Amino acid sequence: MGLLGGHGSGGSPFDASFERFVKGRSTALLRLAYLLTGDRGHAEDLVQTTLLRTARRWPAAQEQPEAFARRVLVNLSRDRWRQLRRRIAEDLTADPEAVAGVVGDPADRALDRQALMLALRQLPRRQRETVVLRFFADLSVAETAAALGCSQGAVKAYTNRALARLREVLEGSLPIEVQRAR
Amino acid sequence: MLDDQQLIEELRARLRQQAAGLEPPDRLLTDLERRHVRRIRHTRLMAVAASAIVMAAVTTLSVMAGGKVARQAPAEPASTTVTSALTPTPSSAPQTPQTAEQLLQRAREALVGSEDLVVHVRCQTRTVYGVMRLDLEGWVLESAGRSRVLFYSGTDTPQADTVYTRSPGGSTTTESLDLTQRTVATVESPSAPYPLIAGISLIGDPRVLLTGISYTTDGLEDLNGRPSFRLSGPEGSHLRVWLDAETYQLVRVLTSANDIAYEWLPRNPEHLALLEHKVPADFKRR
Repeated sequence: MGLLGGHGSGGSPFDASFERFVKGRSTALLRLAYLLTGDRGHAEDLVQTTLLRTARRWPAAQEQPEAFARRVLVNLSRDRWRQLRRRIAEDLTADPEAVAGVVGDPADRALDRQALMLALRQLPRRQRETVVLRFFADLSVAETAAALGCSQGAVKAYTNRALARLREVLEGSLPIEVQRAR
Repeated sequence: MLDDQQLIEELRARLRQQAAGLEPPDRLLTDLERRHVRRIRHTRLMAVAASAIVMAAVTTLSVMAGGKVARQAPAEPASTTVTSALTPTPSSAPQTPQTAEQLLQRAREALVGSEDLVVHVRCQTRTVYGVMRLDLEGWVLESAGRSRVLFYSGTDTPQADTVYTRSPGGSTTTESLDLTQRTVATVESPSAPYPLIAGISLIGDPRVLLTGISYTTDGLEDLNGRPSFRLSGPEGSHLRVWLDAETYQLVRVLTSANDIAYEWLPRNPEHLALLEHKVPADFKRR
């Protein structure tokens, strides 16, 4: 059934399978977009545009819709980066208690989050994309290479370089007791 | 020191914490449907505009070949004349009624005659929650081949400051200051085949909006203390344009996604200075 199959809910122009995809995977796409751009507003815009483009190509995309949408999202985030130069990391204003499993002083946690987002922003684009796809989206090397349109060897190289750069941020912000325990 | 596996686990946990709690709005599908419908309408609108441009080109070629020119009617008939229903007409505003096409013709002429004015452009973009965010602010002097853009990306302070300089030889030098990284980069590239103002306005070349689109006139409206003619685009579109009632210059464009303001400043030392930036001494060159 094509995009305009019109079999979605309540007279929607979208196919019912596309609607199910949106309901099931839009949260994951939004969080991915946020980590790629560092800006919630732009992440929301990117996800909407990604989903619209996926909808328009649904007959081709529906075999592997998530991989298709991820590829579109990554490309769009690059376009946005080129057009508007820079994003700043948005301060997370979520209640720390709402984040499961987090302990420690709320102010410290906020600073840690800022430090990580700043460090992510400072990574070259390909390294940032690799880090987010591999360690947030938990993609394999092969899946990451497909999403980025590069070789698996390049993904491994980007990973190593990114980890080297992020090591200082991550180790420096751990409580000293945690570092010693490890 | 963490070993690689511990580092990866720490990174994984931090990334998840960073994005935790982020959820798309419940109305996401509704918003997608609305954007889809708007896109269909916009595509039709642009098709009308494109056909009008083709007609104009054919007419021009006909004139050049010595043929007579028949006055071209717009694709859909221009409708109402101007009324002053919205606000009382200030004494400086024109009193005689004008059709939408007459106003647009004057606006096109004003645009042609403005190449030696410094144009100040402010572009705001609407987020999915309807909030307007400042994306960029720029200044253009077409006659000097120079423009400057501050990129805000929705923040309160500019993130980047870029100056574009076109040479007569057909190349553009772009000097960009990254105000957060404190770096500067200079690049030379072939000049784009459109006016500089198209590069700093999120709707592109404003001349496209003044040709081949059917507008209706909504009357006079006070815009920042000056009387302006407000025109509405075709039914179903969110397009609105405002023309200064004295100069007929384009002063505002409103679409579903963007709110763009234009200010036309005389060319003097104060306004020319807006087209320049200084590279701070501590900036590193990329």
